[in-house]
Amino acid sequence: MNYDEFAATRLPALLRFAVMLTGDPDTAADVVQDAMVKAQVAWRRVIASEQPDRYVRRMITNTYIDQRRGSWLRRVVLRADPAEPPAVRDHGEATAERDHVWSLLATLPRQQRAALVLRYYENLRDAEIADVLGCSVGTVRGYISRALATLRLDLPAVLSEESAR
Amino acid sequence: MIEELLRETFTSHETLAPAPDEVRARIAAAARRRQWRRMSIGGTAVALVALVLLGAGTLVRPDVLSRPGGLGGLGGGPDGTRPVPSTPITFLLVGTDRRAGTDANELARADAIVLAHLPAGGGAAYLISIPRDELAGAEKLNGVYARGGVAALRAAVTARTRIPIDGTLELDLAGLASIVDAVGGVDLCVDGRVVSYHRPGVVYEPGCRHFTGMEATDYLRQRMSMPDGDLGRQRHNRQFLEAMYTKVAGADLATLANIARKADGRLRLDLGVFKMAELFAAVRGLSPGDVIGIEPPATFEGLTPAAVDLWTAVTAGTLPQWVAANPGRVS
Repeated sequence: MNYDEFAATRLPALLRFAVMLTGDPDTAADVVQDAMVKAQVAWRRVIASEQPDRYVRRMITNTYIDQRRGSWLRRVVLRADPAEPPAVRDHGEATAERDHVWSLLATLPRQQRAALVLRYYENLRDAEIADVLGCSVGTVRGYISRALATLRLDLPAVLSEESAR
Repeated sequence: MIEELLRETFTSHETLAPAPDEVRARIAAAARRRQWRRMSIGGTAVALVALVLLGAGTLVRPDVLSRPGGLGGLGGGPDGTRPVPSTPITFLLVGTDRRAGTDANELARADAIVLAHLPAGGGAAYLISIPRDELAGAEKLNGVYARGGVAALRAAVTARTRIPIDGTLELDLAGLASIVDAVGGVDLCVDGRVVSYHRPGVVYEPGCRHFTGMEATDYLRQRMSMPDGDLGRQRHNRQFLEAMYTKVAGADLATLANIARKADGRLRLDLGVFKMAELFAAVRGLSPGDVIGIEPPATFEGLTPAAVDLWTAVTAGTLPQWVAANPGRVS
């Protein structure tokens, strides 16, 4: 597979992955762009990894986690008109709850959010998540359990619903 | 379950993902910029060629270097005996108005456009000014450059002159000043009083004098105070290139490399099919007197129909005859 084939077939999925990590389309486009430019330059190394998709996902994840406060500041302060999430037409209860969870995700430490995305969106096994994040399986489980605990704290409605079942 | 809620949350926000086509275009543009940066910062080889191109107007001396085999034989041994094409070579040199302290990727306008031409017969390098105000369709050439970059300018110049262009070099004001300072300044003869439009109070009086990088850069930009405006500026640019060649002629490779590295990031180079070593090996072959500046037939409005004869002479290899017939257009 050459770079162009890869970009043509994988880019949509990579962008979805990135938006799950970053929470907003502009930052997602930025981190994917960053990773893809690097991948293009070092394509031979990417291919040699035998899992180009995993390799690029790792680059995207690292770029997201490594983003410094400076770039976050620039993004928030200097972008005059922050991108609004698209208006949801049917603002039912379920939708409202998902939007609430989405906004809570933004408060998590980046490693924790990345771990959640890799497990619950990408459906990776813990060992694979550890590979992407470059940490141990134990650390991955720690990230996820802490993240879930934080979310539960802020989601009393979900908790009560769970206990009512 | 919170796990289930998380899955649903992710899936329901997939619509936030940016449009792949847009991002793909951005990636391609960023990759190109990065490529350029690599090439321009990339080191000795590239910087060296740039200097060679600048100094000599260009470079290979085919009568010394050409060997049987033409283009197919490019890239031989390291000893200077490699075959190079015995065809004419033309580079497009662009001096831009981008100043120091600005982003090196920022778009700029082309202040100076010069075709550096080496005829197949060798023995000379011709520097042919192209008026930046010349119209290409509805647009001036410097506008073509500002909008479409060097590729668009190259296409427009070729469309107008029918001269095949083998490679391009872009240098901005910051890079120009660095290179001039790196050679210890340059000696130019001011041929008419020039009042600086950009440095209030500064006047370049007629006569020969020494210019630092900053002074040379300022002097070469001026056109407002001259009776012949941009034509005068084009002449000054050619005089400068000739003076630079005089300055670096005979310098050894290491010296040139050190000088050229000073323009890091401020020049862009597209060598086409040529290799740096091929271009360098030849530059010593030309003496300063072999570098000939040409002002094409033009008025303030742009090129005149007589310019066609010049372009034809370039492509037909009859430039010496054209020069002999138009001594007033040689500087």
